[in-house]
Amino acid sequence: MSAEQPALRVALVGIVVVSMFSALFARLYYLQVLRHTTVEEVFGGPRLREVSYEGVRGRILDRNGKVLVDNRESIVITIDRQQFAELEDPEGLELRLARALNGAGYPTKVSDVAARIEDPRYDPLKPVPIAEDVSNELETYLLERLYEFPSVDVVREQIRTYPLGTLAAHAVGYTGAINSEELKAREEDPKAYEPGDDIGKAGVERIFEGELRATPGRRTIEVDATEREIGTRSDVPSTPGSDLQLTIDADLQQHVEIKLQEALIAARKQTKRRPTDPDLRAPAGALVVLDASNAEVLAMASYPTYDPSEFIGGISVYRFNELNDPAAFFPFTNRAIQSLYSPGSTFKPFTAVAALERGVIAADEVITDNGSYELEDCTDTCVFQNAGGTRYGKIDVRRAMTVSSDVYFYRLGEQMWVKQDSFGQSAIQDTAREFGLGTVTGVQLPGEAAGLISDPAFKKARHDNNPTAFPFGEWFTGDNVNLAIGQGDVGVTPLQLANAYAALANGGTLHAPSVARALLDHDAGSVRRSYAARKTGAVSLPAAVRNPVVDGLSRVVSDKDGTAFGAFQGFPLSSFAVAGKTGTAEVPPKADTAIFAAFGPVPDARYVVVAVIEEAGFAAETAAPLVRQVFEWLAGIRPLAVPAPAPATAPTVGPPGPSSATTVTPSPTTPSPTTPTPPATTTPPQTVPATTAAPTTVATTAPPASTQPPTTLPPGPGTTAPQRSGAPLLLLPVAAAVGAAARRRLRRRDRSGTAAERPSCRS
Amino acid sequence: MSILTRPSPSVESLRRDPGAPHRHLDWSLLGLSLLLSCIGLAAIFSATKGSGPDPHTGMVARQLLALLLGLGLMAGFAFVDYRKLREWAVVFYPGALIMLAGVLVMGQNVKGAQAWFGFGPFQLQPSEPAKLALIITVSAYLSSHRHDLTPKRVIAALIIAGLPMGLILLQPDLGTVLVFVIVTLTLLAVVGVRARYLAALMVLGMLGTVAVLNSDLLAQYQRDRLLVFIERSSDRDNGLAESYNVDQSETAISLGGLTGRGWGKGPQTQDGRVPEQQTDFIFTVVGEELGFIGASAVLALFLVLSLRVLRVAQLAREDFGTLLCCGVLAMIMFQVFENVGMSMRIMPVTGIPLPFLSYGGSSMLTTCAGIGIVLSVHMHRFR
Repeated sequence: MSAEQPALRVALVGIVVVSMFSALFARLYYLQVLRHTTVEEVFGGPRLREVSYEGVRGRILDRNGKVLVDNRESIVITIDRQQFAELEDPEGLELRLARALNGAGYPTKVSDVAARIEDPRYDPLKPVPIAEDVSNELETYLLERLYEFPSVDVVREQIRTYPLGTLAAHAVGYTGAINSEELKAREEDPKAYEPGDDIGKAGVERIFEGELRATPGRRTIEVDATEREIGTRSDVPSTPGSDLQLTIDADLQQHVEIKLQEALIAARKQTKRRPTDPDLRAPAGALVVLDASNAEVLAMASYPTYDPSEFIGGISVYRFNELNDPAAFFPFTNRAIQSLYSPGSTFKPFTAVAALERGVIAADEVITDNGSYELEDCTDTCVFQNAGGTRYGKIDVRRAMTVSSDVYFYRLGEQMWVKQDSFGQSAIQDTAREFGLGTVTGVQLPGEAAGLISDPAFKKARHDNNPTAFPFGEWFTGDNVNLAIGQGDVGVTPLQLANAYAALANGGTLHAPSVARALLDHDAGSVRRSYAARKTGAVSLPAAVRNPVVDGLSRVVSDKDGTAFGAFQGFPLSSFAVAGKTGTAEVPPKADTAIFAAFGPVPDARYVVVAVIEEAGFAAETAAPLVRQVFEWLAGIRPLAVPAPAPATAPTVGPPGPSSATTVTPSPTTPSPTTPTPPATTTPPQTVPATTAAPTTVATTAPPASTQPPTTLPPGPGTTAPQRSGAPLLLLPVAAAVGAAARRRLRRRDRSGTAAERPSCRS
Repeated sequence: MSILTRPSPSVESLRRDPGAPHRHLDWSLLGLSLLLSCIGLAAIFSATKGSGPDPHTGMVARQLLALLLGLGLMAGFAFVDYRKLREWAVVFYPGALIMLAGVLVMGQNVKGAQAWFGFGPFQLQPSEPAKLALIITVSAYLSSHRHDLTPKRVIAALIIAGLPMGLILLQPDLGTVLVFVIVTLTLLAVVGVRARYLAALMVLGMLGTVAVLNSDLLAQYQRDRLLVFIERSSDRDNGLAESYNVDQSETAISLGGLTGRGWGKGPQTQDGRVPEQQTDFIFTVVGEELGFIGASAVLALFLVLSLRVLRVAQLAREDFGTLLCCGVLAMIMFQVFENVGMSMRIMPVTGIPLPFLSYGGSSMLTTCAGIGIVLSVHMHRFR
């Protein structure tokens, strides 16, 4: 220290020290007092984690309370990841567990076990399920040897069970583990989802997911820095989901499914008229029974079907691909609502309503059907024929319906277009749309196809959009003529058709068909909410319009000239009068689609039944007898000879094998060497290259989600114009059919009369 | 100095000799040291007891042993007349250099620094006692030349200080070198080296720091530590481990709030989220569990301690004592400032222990010995 100021230097050190401490105090005050609240919000508080667990999903019942979908306990083997991570020999455990599973009859690879443990989709705080639904024996075996299987546990979980097997599989749907997209879409869901949770993937399981799903239980646990559980804070138990009561009658559904399968088998056994005709493979079909008064779906069958229980615990990729193989004919597709069919002659009642309502023709006005019809004012080949050129003579609207005269409706189609100044450009389409054709019905099922009723505006837009594929943008008279008999760019679902017939049957009230009747308290049965009929429109159907049409339809089954007379022979029409219409739609190069739409008992019809069978040939021989069997059930008649070899155990999935198709051709997958080509009598208003048209045809309602099993075209040789198939490409067949139909205008659309009267070969 | 003029003191008066060293023990320094050490023990226990039902006590026991040894050492240095240290410097200083050189050859490498001798279960960090050797030696040299401090002598003092610093830099242990730098500068300032020399030294020091930072002398982790402090905004993105330390440390201190979470109840501490918590980041235990009240109390104890040491420095009988006290003060207080400052992100992260509190025997023994020297200066201020 300098002699002058010794104390000053020491004091300076003191000042430095005090300033350093001031800095520390200031910082300490800032961190602990000023910033404390902010940090506390972020890092403070106990480290809590919420673990949610699923509750019991609601059951699905039929309209009489029969249980279609229930829950049962499943034994699940799990591994606790935290404990597993601390094991000295994790590979050894995986090996032992896989060995135990294999020994108990559950084929498991060691890599399967490892993959589950590493699967990031499972909640890190919850044990990972390794094997679901194992046997009691394995449970006992493992529980007795848990010391050999550290980190392994055996727990019981609720899973879906199907007491009635595959019954109504398409309407019911199935559940599966939620995927990342679904998870993302439901981030804000009040019944919060977690990876691994079950979610409805199809059918009402999907549509009523919010009601069926239980409110998950929530356990709040406290964890330490390493996320290890150290205590439970709170535990809110789950509340079960509501039971869903369907409008479907399980007994009727059972009957319908069996009869549909039998009808398919029978259709395959038909003999082809000519060896060159397409094979009658009858691979698929659909049947809908509606309550005519409120459009409740009493039964809805689609074949081939699938087994929803295969999805319990996750379906294997292999099996899923197998089911989606075109050779399986797309069992996931609910053909009643997802496949579009040309309605063919079943469309005629709506043409008739359009014409009668507008005064195009009077109900009693008689025209002469000479078997063919020549368009007026037509420069090219303009002759349209009945099928086989059959002459029906003098016919009015009733008779035209009964015998299914094409000529009568050709004339109506032509007149409504020629006199478009009076009737507008889309008279038929407007009426058809009033009946709900060409739009979604609004049934509470996912992936419903909208369908299409083509009109001049649509045709023009399609041409403008892709002139190469659709060279003609103009609406020709021929288009209207085709439309009048339900051919051309017309595609409807069986449910749409049934719903339209329901409106016709009940006097003009259109409903959104419903499959759900009520929500019930879980297991208690008290009604929580009931679903009323949803009226969506009203068609003006004065008696002068409706009566002749219904009369004509009644005679389809009762008149000896009626197209379905043979099919309904012996049916007690006096006590239970049925009105119906056959339709045999052309879908070259495949065999015709057979359709029968009917309602009864007339006059106050309670039921509407629509059956569609693909590649089945004449409706009168295939679809009509099937519908008759359904009406027998509805009328309370149990036919004595019930061939009941194939109830619930009937083949559920897959195409009809070659073995069952005892047609004249050796294999149903082999195309006929020469597909029947029409005589060159055409100057088609549109020569549509069907194949190129296909992809660009129409933008229709795509199935809503990826979870919908992909529905693509069935396979097969000459896939240019398949008619059956799912929604996405639904109009491909229709578009293809247009081209073909246009080229073959001379071919008849409907085989009328009984088998004896039918021509033995085409045209 | 009337005491010295007393004629033959009787046995009776000897016993009552008011100038006898033992009569001038500074109880406050002893008490402050003990209090801080006990807080340290409690904090170490909280940080190392673990979450199990049986708390781990191993580290606390070792620290307690170090404290007892330290108290013995403190007593030893207190009762020895500090003036004898002037002569002992010729032993201490070469001894320190030998140890520092030896540790580079035979030492244990822990976390990248060749800084420890291992003796079975115990370790000795020679750079700790070297701090005292430096203080004693430089103080002795400067005090004996304090009236003719030519630049040559100042340079000589710098060389005396520079040798151990160079050896420590080779370990490398940047933090301890920083302590040496601060201690040396303080001694030079207190002894009266002209301000312009000091200013020149500072400039040289800064240039040297920049040079060192840009050379290969520093390990990457050391550069990271310093850069974390400088580049605070971007460190989170870089994901540096050093940044993680400071983040956790700062969070722990903030979570303490005004009154703290309670001893043994700090979430950051009990979950083991602050790395090196019982050693370099011991202050976070105090901050989180005892809160602003407890942490500022600890700082206040250090402040009172340093003011007390300053007072002793002023009371010292001769310049050597004043310099010793100032050296010890600089050593302890810079470590407190650096250590606590780094916990609160106002200083760069260097591995400097918090005196009395951090777990570590070498540091405890050195600090106690340093306080012992101050006590000695105080006790021997009359004779």
